[in-house]
Amino acid sequence: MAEVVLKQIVKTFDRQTVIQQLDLTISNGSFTVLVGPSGCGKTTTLRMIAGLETVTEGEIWIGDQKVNDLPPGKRDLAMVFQNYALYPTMTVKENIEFGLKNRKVRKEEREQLIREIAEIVGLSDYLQRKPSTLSGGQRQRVALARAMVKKPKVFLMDEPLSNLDATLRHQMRTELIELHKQLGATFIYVTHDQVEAMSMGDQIVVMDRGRIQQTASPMELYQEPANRFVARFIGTPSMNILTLPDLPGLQLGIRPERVMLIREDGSAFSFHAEWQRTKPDLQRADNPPEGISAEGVILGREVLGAETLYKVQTQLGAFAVKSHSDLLLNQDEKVLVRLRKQDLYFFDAAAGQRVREQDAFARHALEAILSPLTEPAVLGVGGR
Amino acid sequence: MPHVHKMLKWLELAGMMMVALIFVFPFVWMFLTSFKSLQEVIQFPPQWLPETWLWENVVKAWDSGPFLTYFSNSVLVALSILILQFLTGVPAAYAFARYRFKGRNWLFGLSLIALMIPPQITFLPVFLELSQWKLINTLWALILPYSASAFGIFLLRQAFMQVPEEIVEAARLDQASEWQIMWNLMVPMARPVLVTFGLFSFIYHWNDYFWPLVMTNQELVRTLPIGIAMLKQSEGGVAWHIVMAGNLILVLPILLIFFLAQRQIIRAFVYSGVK
Amino acid sequence: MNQQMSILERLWMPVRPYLFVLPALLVFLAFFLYPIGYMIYLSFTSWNFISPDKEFVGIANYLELFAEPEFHQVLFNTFLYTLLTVSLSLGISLLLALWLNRRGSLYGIVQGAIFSPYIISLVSVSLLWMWMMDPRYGLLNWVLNWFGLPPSKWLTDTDSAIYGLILVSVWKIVGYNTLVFIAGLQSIPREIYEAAAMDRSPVWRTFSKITIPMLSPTLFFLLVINTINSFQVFDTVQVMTQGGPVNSTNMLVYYIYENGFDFFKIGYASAAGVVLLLIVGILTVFHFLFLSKRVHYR
Ligand SMILES: Nc1ncnc2c1ncn2[C@@H]1O[C@H](COP(=O)(O)OP(=O)(O)OP(=O)(O)O)[C@@H](O)[C@H]1O
Ligand SMILES: [Mg+2]
Repeated sequence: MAEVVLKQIVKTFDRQTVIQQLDLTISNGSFTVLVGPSGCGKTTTLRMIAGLETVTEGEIWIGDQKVNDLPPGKRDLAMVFQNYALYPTMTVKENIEFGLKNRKVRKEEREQLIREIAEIVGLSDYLQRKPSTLSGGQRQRVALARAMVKKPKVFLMDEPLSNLDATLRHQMRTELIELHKQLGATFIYVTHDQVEAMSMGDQIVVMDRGRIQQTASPMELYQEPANRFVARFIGTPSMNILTLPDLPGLQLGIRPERVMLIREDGSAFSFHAEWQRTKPDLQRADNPPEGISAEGVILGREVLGAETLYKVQTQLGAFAVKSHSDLLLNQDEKVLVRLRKQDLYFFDAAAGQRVREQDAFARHALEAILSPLTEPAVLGVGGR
Repeated sequence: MPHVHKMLKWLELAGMMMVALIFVFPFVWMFLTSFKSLQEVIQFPPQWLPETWLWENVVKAWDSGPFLTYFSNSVLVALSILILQFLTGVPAAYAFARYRFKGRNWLFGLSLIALMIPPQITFLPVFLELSQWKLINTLWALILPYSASAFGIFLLRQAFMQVPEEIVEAARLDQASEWQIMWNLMVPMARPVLVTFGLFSFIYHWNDYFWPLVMTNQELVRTLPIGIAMLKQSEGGVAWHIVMAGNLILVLPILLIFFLAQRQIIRAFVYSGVK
Repeated sequence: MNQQMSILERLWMPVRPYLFVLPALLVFLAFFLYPIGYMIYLSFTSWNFISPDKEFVGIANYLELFAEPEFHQVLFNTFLYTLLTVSLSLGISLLLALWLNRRGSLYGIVQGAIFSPYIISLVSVSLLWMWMMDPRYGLLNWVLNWFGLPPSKWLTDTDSAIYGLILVSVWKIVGYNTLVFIAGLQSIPREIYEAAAMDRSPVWRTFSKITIPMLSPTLFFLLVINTINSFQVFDTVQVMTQGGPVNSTNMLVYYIYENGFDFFKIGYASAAGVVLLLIVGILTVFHFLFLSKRVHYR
């Protein structure tokens, strides 16, 4: 059992508070990712769990033991550092062995463990080398092996992949996920890369300015962000946030991949497939889906290959739009922008908290800005 | 044009030969003199090569006094100093580099002042102090005052500060004690600096004339430089062949080390002074 | 068990740094800082080293010191020696450095050759040069003769003896200075020279506007270090001339040594020691300012 619980943690450096009343439960065997912008306190949180940093207030529990006063070496956890922090004067083998020796593990047992671990991470041929003669990926593996060999209950990792190139990073991501499954230990993983967070974690903790913004599974985080910060932090490009004069005190959000663009000739562009699917609905004159329509013009585009990003100006404001169509819209081309009601998010303009749809409707005559979304031809924009 | 260029190249080469000669020839002359006879020494114009190479001059010089004692004293003193400086320097440098404690900067400043005070200023009071402790005319008088080196602490602290914090933290997570971190992790990582400083310290104390001269007046505790200088006085006047032969004993070990580790030695003396 | 360990550790942790620095600091206190205070105290006493009590005499030692013509001579000698040694060695070294600051094994060999005297004991160097300066059989007179110059009496003449000492120390430290200059030259980024070349800067202007200013920290460092070291000259004096002939090469440290160890005028010697301390102290303050500036730059 190695549940990690942080209770009301506060951390202050020279009177500057960097972690504020943090409560977090990391369940046994989970792969928890701490994610957030630079300086938000991820590393500090991780280091407090490791015991490398003292806590100013609050309690940290690992399993059923309060560890506030336990030195790092006694907490039964291992850490992988961003720059690996290998001991440069020791060989790979000695690096892995160091912690075992300090724990007074017998020699035969040590040899046995090292052989096993080296096999797992694929370092068997490099045991006698010095870290300086290894590649970045190999060093990463040594750092992992050094952590794994202690068979800790909890693994802490601080941006362990950020020094690797894109290909290797991808490969190591999969390997780490595999490893987590194999070991069944608790992983606490820090990154500032939301894509990495989404692809690896089963629980994601989004932090900003020393506070937890939301703790949730990747899908929930994407679909049900708790506030504007999380909504904008998860997903690229960030969610569009619109401030409409008709909605005082509220802001409206829509993800770029959920915006539909329609050409003057009536052919749909972005978000095409989804709209195709709802076509029957659109044609039902009695109860068409509701949403927002606006006319707009293309300000610019970025072709990324599989997808295209557009910047569209409308009377509602400027939008980022992500399209998967192979056809391209041109600069200055006129388009019709349509947003479905079920794709809209509402936020409190001041606090940034998510406002549930029902509440939003209660607070405003939202219907005023919604209109039936019908076939473009009916609107008379296109030709056909 | 290429002609002029070639001429210049040759001129430069000749110039460099000249410069090298000015600095190296005195040693060659010392070497040659060591093997001459008295007749050959007192000849003017000088005779370049000895007629017969009198290797026994070295033996004569060696036998003219207790040179075995001088030699072993020199080795003993230089090595003891080195070991003590290492033992006192590593923990001090580690504390200055890695711990925050009240008065740290103040105490470090104190050691820097020690670095700046040359023995040529303190010798008189230190002599009086050591004679109160009854240590004059013992090897302790030569070793103790140098048993900690501010310069060494300064260099080591620099090296320790460059070790990334994460490596120390990784070791803490590996349950290493502070003592282990210091000796098994930091010291090996500071090896280049230790070599540099070791060479510096050994050469300095092997060569040192001033301190042993002031602190001793008995043969039993004298070091080689004193012995050689006494040779001049005892052999007197023009026995330069014997004096130079004795000189060889003092110079050759250092020249040999210099030959083997020229780069490290130059770094030890030049770069550590600049940085 | 764990709890106990951490109580022990908690007691031990705050003292640990002090224990770590203690041995070294004790040595510094006993052999560098306390002696300075002791020397200042002694300079106000009259003591012959044998008698059990030291008589307090106020500033009498200093008055005697500054009234003593011999001490004037000693100060003059020391300043002359320092001035010439430092300026000559720096001048020669700078020229050599500019010339030899090139890659290639030949340059490396010459650099090593120039440097070699620096790591040899001053005793050896002194004896060696005494031999070469021997007025009757010495090599140097042969060289003078070869150039058609009259022979010199070198160390045995009051007029030339101090120059003999200067020659020896310049010969010994030129290599060190040259290599420090070369290190300084190499730390000047190549790009600056390339930019200057693109701007068609003539050689002399590149030298005076780029090389010299960029080299000035090195120059200053060497100036201070060489000056401090020259003020402490002793070994050559003791071995080669013993301050003679007729005090013409007697310099501060040797003077202190003589008065303390030969004449047992401890108070008087200490007063001279305090004078040396002040000179070196002022230079050291310069050096410290320089060091802190260096640290700041990094
Ligand atoms: N030792 C320290 N002393 C003072 N302030 C610190 C210290 N360590 C961190 N901080 C401050 O605490 C805040 C959080 O730092 P932390 O390293 O935890 O950020 P992070 O989320 O890991 O950022 P990054 O993604 O850039 O690594 C920052 O504002 C930082 O300046
Ligand atoms: Mg971080």
